Amino acid sequence: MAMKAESEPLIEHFRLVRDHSIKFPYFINKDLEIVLIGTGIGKKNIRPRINHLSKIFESQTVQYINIGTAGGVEKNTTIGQIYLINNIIDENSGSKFYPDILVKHNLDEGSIVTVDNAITSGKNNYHCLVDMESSEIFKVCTKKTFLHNLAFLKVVSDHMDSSTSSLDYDTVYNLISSKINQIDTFIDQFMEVRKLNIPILNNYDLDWINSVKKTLSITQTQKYQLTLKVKKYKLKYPEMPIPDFKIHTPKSKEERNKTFLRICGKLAA
Amino acid sequence: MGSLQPNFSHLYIEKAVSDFPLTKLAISKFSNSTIIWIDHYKDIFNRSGQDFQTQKLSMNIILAKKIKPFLYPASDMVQNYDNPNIYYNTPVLNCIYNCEYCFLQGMYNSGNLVVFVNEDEFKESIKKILLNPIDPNKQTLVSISYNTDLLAIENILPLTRRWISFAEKNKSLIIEVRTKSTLITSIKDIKPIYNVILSWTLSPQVICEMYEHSAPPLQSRIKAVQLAIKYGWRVRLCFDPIIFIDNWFEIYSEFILMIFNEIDANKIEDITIGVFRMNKDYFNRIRKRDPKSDIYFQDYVQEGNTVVEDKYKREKALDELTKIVSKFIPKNNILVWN
Repeated sequence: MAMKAESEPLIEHFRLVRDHSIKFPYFINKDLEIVLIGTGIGKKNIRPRINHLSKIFESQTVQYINIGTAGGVEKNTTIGQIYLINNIIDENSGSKFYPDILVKHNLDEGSIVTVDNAITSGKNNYHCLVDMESSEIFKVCTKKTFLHNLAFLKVVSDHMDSSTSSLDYDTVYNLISSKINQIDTFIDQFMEVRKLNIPILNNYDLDWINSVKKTLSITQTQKYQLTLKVKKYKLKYPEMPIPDFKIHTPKSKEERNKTFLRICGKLAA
Repeated sequence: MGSLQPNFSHLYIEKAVSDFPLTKLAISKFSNSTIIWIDHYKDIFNRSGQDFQTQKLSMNIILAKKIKPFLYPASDMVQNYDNPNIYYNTPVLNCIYNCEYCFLQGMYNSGNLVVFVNEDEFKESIKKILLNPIDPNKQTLVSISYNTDLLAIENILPLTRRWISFAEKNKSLIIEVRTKSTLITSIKDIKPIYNVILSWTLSPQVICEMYEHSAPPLQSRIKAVQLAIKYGWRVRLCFDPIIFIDNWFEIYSEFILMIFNEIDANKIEDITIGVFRMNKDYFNRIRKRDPKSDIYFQDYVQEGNTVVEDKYKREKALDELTKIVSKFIPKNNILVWN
């Protein structure tokens, strides 16, 4: 979220609670698995704040939704209309980005141009929407997740004319607030997509592999081989835990290798 | 998948191909799809951060113009036909099916389909080759369905029939249409011609269920083969890849007997047989993507650039299966990838 007025309706609706241990606006509802961060207007805070967020959830699949207001071209958009963005152009670099819209939704789709300065004139150069954040968010988030885990929801706040500079808190709050049910439905559906590609190995499995590596002092190659064996085992017996192995620190490489082969053999049986 | 868009919810179209007949046809076929105009198909198809397997659950189509080359020499992954005039082309990239053993998931970043709409340029390049074949004493064969299943999308875009029409006008060319599809019915109005071979990949039903999820079941494919023969097409059967699951020999032996019980072996041009094999780079790329398939966690060997079953094991298996096939098909019509 760029502005406080955009965030507030979401904070209220999803009962998000501020975590003051983090130095920028960071709100969370652990039960809903939803976090909201404020990035401010423009690009400058986006990278460090998203990097911070992704570090907190390093071992989890995170989906990113950029929700906010945008200027709209008068002949193609209506104020208050919400769009799911399918095409982002960074005006400064000319780069084009395409989110992967795999999630089923009932929203209108549209393109957006990300600019460095607010547009109050020259609006005829644009086709649909204009904002100041999307391209940067896309660039940062695509380094952290799959494209289909990334979405941009934009509510048209103005037609890039003299009213743009006079947009007040209540107007922006009400624009987002009026679309909260559509946003909620979208988020529900979007979170379902996350469940489609669950990794073969869960955190417990990864910890187990690491503990074997540590106890036996196996090589990186052996760790890789062990990972493949565990994956094969988990595919064959998805409901079963990894068999219980009694593993002790070996006294020699020979003993290590023997134990390693015994584990691999049992996993392959 | 309830949370995902249906296939082809979005059409990505290169601005430069808006006027091509195939583009117009696709737009009319997918009138409910969202069209996104793009500069180049690679801006979509080659994006980083795509998840091939999730995209396969909600595929989209990209319409584009291919640039040279329009024709490639046959891959060393295909059986040796003892003919240097063997080629494949790529009128479509990617397949609507998603077989677990398929190399396409290692070849491409994207699960989406690219359809090249400049069909005429593909055909012109073949005409040039026909004028100057490497071995003038042998026919030129082009596999038009190597990186896709062209017949499987015939009810979406009628490409196979257009290629058949091209072959009809170029008798010195043989085209092979490799498929798992049942859409032979979509070309039933076309008079069969001698220089088109329809080539079905058949697998035991248990393999279909385990590894060929979105492709038609075995019985449907057998019916398609029977129809193709009835219509008068030349038909090739491909028992490829053989997958070494538990009891593989019994499963494949029974399968072969069943096939020739249901399909008249005398009406089959030839048979190709091969075990699972894959370019090592594709294989390793797939493995890195955490595939939910045990195929990628078996013990293989690497021979050159190919990941393959151990030589002794595969030669023995292929030899045993060839013996069974040869009860029905003359040995010189059985092509084995060894």
